[in-house]
Amino acid sequence: MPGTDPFSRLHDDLVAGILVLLPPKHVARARLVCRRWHLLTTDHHFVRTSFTLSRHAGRPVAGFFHNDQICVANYYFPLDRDAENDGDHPYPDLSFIPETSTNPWSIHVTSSCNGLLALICWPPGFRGTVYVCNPLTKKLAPLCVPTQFCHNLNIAFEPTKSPHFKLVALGVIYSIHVYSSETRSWKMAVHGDHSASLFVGLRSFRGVFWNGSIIWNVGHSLIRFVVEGEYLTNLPMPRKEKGWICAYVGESGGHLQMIGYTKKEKFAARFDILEMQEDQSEWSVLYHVDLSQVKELYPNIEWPTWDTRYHEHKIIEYLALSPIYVIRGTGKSGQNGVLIFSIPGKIMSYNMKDQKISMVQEVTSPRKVPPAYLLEQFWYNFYAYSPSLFDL
Amino acid sequence: MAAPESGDGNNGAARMVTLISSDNTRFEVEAAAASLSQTLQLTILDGGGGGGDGIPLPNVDSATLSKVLEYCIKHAPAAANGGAPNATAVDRAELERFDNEFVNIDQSVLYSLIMAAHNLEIEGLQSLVAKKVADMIKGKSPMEIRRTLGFPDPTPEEQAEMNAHMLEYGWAYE
Repeated sequence: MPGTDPFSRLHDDLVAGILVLLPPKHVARARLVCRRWHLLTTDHHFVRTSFTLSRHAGRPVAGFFHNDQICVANYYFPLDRDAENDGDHPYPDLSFIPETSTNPWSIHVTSSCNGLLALICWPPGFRGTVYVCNPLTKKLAPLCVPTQFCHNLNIAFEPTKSPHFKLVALGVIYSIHVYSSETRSWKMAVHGDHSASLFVGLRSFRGVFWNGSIIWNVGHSLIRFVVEGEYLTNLPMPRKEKGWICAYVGESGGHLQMIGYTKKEKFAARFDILEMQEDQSEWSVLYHVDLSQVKELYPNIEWPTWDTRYHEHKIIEYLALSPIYVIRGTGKSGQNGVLIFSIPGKIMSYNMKDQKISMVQEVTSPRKVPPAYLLEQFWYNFYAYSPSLFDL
Repeated sequence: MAAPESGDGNNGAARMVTLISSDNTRFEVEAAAASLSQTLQLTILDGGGGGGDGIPLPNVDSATLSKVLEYCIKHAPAAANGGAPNATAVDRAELERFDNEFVNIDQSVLYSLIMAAHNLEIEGLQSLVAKKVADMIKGKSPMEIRRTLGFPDPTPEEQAEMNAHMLEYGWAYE
């Protein structure tokens, strides 16, 4: 037919079948091509399929938001630098948030889950505003959050189960509050009388969303809040021996990962990454990690005791190295995983497959702290982000 | 291609089937190759397509069908090995090279192939051509995509609607 483009002969299912193969970022741009593509790609089924495909395409993390802006000037670290060569901007654009026009540093990410972010903005002299947003589709939902818990919000969003998200917050004396985007309201799910004793020893307000639950580390065990059932339960720690500490809890590939070590293991920079698979309650070893070559590459991460620092035989009392995120590989055994970790002034990656160590990002301080005084970064200030097309 | 007289397929000679395109061209092809199509496989298992009958394909023209069969003939041996778990790296590299060259074709042929692969339910070909089109779209601005795919210029209403979405998403159209 003259005057008609051949593409328009393809029926909707086939066009959607092609567009769903694009990474979410490219879909977002393709939405502007024509009315038909916009309709096809905003359909809920399409968005979910796109999410499932990109989850399995082996790029589960695009980068990390970092909310410790007192010490670090970078608010986002992209993992995939190749995206830049694709004519693609690797940094999520948060300029649609009203507060960024006056003060871009006023934004703190407090949670990240399947492409949605919870942020708190502090315009000088005002009460903070809390938003849940999708940086890719530039959808923004301001939320009314009681001030006492606007800092420890955790998004619970499992799009394969429900199109609505929830926010879980720890309130006064560890009462647990839940916001539902469906009812647009807050409710107290667990009263502090029932939860306060469980939260004794809480290591960080930062929770991890895994398997329909928010997980917190209280040192001797993990506390699990089941979002749908609105109850609290315990998860055991893998090891109980003296001196063993849990240094990381995180979710990747639908499973819960943990890193812990004794002082000896930490100083040797050799330790295990453990995993609890979805719907199981046992920990098993996912990877053995050997970062001893990092000590050779960067000898100054080994801190000797004060009195032996000029001696030939130094006694090491601290290793400035800390895990940030475990990116699980694919398959049951999680082949080709990556550990993101930090040493002073640098974010690094360690590839499980070939033990290759590379630098992801140089960390700079806005206060011009000399490199020797920079500390390593800790996992609870990092929020893994991967774009998705979900609406709010 | 040798066409056996009696093709019951049990005595060494491969069973042949005849496919008839929408413009009445007859294609004789090994049953194993044609069976890459889920739709044809059922007919062939029922004993169809042999002898003088042939299977009519009213939705596929001869140019497209010959292209489809080129793909099927190349992929049939690997498919017969159950997805070829024992295929050598060389074989796989060769198939990959073939696939890359195979989709290096005119867009109108590409779209005809998408429809044919869909109608005939040839899974490998479906994903191969869909991926090719997706790669053509990737990394381009909306306007570049329109040009690449040969879309007519947007109507003023469509342009206005897209401008509104553009503001909403904060992206440039160009």
